[in-house]
Amino acid sequence: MNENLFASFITPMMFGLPLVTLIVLFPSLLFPTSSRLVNNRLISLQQWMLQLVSKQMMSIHNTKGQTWALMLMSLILFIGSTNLLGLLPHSFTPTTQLSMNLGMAIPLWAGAVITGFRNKTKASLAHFLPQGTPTPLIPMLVIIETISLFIQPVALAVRLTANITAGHLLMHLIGGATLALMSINTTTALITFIILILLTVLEFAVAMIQAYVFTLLVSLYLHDNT
Amino acid sequence: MDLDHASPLCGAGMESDCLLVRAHREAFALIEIMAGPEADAQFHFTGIKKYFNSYTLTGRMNCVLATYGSIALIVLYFKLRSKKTPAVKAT
Repeated sequence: MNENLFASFITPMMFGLPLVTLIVLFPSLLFPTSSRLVNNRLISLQQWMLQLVSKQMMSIHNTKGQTWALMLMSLILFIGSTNLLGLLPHSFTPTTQLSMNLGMAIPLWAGAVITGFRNKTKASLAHFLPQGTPTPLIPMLVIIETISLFIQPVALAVRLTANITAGHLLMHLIGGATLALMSINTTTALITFIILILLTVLEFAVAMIQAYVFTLLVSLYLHDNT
Repeated sequence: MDLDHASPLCGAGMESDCLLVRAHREAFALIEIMAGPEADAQFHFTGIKKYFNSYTLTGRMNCVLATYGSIALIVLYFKLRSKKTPAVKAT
């Protein structure tokens, strides 16, 4: 049982070759591009959804920040589709891997911070000290703000990893409990099954919310630095 | 990027921006007014407070640089001190 619990988080291999590249690239097949003016229903729906999200997310940015629109929209689509595909039974979710999420979080955060230091050096340095801080607290607050800055990419990555991993683990456990209870007490098994259904609905929501939160936080870091 | 045309979520007859989008814009505009360089003109400090304070952009930047410089000096002091201290000889 213990070994099976974490089996879904092991990176899949086939004949000694890692399948992770194919799995990471797969969601791009679900978003076809089209050169037509009037597209089919799928592409029209995807374009409408993308327009809705980009309008809501990019409206706070100035011209410089809006150059990141493609990056941020790709990010939310990738994380959202990867998380949702991971809810399919027996599938592998790349966003459960901390290495993957750190690989997304660190470059994006660093890009935003370096952009801020290059274009607005004074404002970026002043950001380390909140306005109106009492004089005796200044050194301590500067150190705290520096630490909180460097914690940001780690928090981004760990938040996504922990949420998705915990959800999958919980589904696995409750599913196992439902199966085990079926031969013991059918009523309890039914209640556990209902809990599993509700948890699955929650996981659908968490999958999309985590994608939005990740992208929104990157967007906010960018806004602070542009 | 043109973000001013009607969103599908907004009904006909409403303004082109959704309420949420407008709230975001106003919130961030307020933050920019509070913390922008033009706000520094309202503060009139004299002496050392003109360069080291937690209100103006320059003052905050100088406080941050001074803090980092102090930490660097403390680290340097302890590093050099440990090199100068001679090894204890056995008697």
